[in-house]
Amino acid sequence: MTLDPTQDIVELRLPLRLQYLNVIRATVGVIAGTLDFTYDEVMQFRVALSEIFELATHLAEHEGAEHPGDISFRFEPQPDGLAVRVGAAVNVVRDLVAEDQDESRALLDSLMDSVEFDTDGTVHLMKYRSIREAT
Amino acid sequence: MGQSERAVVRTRRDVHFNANARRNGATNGRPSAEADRPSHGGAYDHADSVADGANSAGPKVEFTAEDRERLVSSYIPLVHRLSRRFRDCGEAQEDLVQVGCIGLLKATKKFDPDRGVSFITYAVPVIVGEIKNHLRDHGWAVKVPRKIQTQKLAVQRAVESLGHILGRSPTFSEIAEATEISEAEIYDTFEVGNYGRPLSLDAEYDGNGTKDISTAMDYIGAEDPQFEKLEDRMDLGQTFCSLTKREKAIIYMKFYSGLSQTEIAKRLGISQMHVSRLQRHALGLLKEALVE
Repeated sequence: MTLDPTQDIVELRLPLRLQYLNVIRATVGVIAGTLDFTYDEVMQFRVALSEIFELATHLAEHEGAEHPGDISFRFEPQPDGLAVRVGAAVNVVRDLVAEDQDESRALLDSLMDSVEFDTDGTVHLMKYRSIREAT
Repeated sequence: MGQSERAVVRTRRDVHFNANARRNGATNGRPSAEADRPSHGGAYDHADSVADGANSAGPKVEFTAEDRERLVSSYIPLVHRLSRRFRDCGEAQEDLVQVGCIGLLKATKKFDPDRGVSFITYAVPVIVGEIKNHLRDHGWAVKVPRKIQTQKLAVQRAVESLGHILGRSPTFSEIAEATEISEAEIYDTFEVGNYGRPLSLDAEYDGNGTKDISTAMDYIGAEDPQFEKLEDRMDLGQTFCSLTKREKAIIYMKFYSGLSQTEIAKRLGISQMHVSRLQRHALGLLKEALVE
């Protein structure tokens, strides 16, 4: 089973609470796995998205709002990889770019092929398959 | 160091000697007293020949309680060392040591010198086995189906071995092919590791650097005991209303103002006996209301 690289877009919106961490981990695991990423790459996706999720929940907690807000993940399969767009109610980008979070930043950079930040607070992650010819 | 080592060596020789002596029919071979409690320093490091003096031919030798006592006390450091291997398994170190000691006791009971292996060779797998059994039975607070546990293991092995064969990390379809586990089931194994260890209710959330420290317990509601009191209070209130004016006054002065019956009698202009009687009657009514 392989997702149609151009058609099938999966979106997931979760409340910013730590108990949903497993949901995003499982989801990205299955999506990346079905796209013929290798085991290691799937694990890298899991770690990267967990990192963003944890950072966002931490920020939401820190702001102490009544409702923690949401975080959304949009998985866009590409012919040669998987792009993930992450948008959160809290501004993860501001924190990721800030100096005290450069560990998270370095982690993302090393796990993904490209990490980009939008001015509107969206994080763009892109990772290419190491095996070009899917078996 | 030298002192303790000598003590240990002597202990070993004594066990050795004992075993030999009994085989030769001498049942009263007594170990020297000063070697009774060897210090723990490195007792197991060169313990190859602890109890293997009896590995030549002859009738089967069994340890006496004394020998066992000596064996156990000289091998306790070994138990500590072996249990440290499992320190990240989420169980308290002390518990693991206790379980390991049970394993050590089993080993001293079941060890057969006639097999020709040294005691430590036999004891290590027994102790480790005991600890592993304990972890298997108690380490998972939430029971994960055995099948998924096994599959998780199979997947991990396949990832490793396929990695060697392919020279890269395998894809999920490759793992599925190698393990004959369906891809969906492989995804299940992902989450297995996370459910075995629940958080303690008293574990502190430090809120990642925020000042308020709370525990998980703080977030769990319970039935408010005041609810029951509220019901009682309503029952009492109703009954209280049905009391006569004088009875109400007596109850109020007695229990809210803390006056004595004589004082109440004086205020109401009646005898103390009368107050006592009215109070008893009123309390009787209130009690009845509560019991119902």
